[in-house]
Amino acid sequence: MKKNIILIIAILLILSPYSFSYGNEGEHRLKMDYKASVGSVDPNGKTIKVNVNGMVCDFCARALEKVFMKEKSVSGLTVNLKAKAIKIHTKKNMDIEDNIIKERIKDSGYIVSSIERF
Amino acid sequence: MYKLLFLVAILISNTVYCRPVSYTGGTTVMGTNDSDRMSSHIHYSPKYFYSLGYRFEYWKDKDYVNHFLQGNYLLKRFNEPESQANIYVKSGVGTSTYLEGTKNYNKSYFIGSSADWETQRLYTNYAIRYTDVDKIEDFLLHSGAAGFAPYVGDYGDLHTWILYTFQYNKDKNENKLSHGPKLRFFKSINLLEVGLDNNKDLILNLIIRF
Repeated sequence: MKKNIILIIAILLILSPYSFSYGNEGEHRLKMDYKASVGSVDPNGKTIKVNVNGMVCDFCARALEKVFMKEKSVSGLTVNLKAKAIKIHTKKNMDIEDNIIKERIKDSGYIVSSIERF
Repeated sequence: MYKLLFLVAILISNTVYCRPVSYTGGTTVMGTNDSDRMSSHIHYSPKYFYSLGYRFEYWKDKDYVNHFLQGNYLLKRFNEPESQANIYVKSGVGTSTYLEGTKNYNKSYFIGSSADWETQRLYTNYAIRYTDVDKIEDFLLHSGAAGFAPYVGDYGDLHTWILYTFQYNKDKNENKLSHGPKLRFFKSINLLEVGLDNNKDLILNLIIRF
């Protein structure tokens, strides 16, 4: 019994991407700046950074994609799980108001900590 | 037949965490196997604080099935900079029947509550549920898990958790405790848990949220 449990844990850990998760911070930041997690970054659109409280889990944070990508003004979304922040990328000449952002974050299961516009 | 239905539910499911409520407009399907039961649950969240759905359960020892219409309500959520915690209440009403013998359908219901807390490194949850199945049994079920993530992945990575889980089923005739380690993996909208309990029964949970 114990041998089986240890064997299963060992196999699954070996198959996990543990060793690939470190050492790519720089690459990650680069991706944050130029590539959206979902959708695209419109060079003529706006980027709004939102710090989000409660965003600790990748699986649950998928809700943000589902909710924000339904907005007509949004071209893409970048999620930074470690920083607990997202970047909302809007389409050309379009914007999304703070109260709408707060409502969509709430719909996703979180609350807004702060909003920064560039 | 019901085992086949369960396997089909697992294979086609695109669902949620162990969390019973999704985001506004989200649909969740879950499949679970442990030493006591096999179950599947599909629910839809009209708003981020409640969901409505259907639950199917096959209880192995007494060889019967439950069909529930289930409602889940988020009582309180604590969104903090480094953590999130939730308290839910759940209830279901439906019918139950033995798989073998007379196919009489009996009334059944359950009420329960669950709570969870997690950071990017630590996770714990606890759930309690009272179930009354007319002419078959009534019981109180406690369950929970606690564990940690050996690494913190970026968004889009495969995430891994090591957890220890338990389930304590208390009814009039006997008390049954099962416990054991399990591993949780999730990537994108897919979540898989696999483990073994002290009865050498497979713990298998598959969730996909869409």
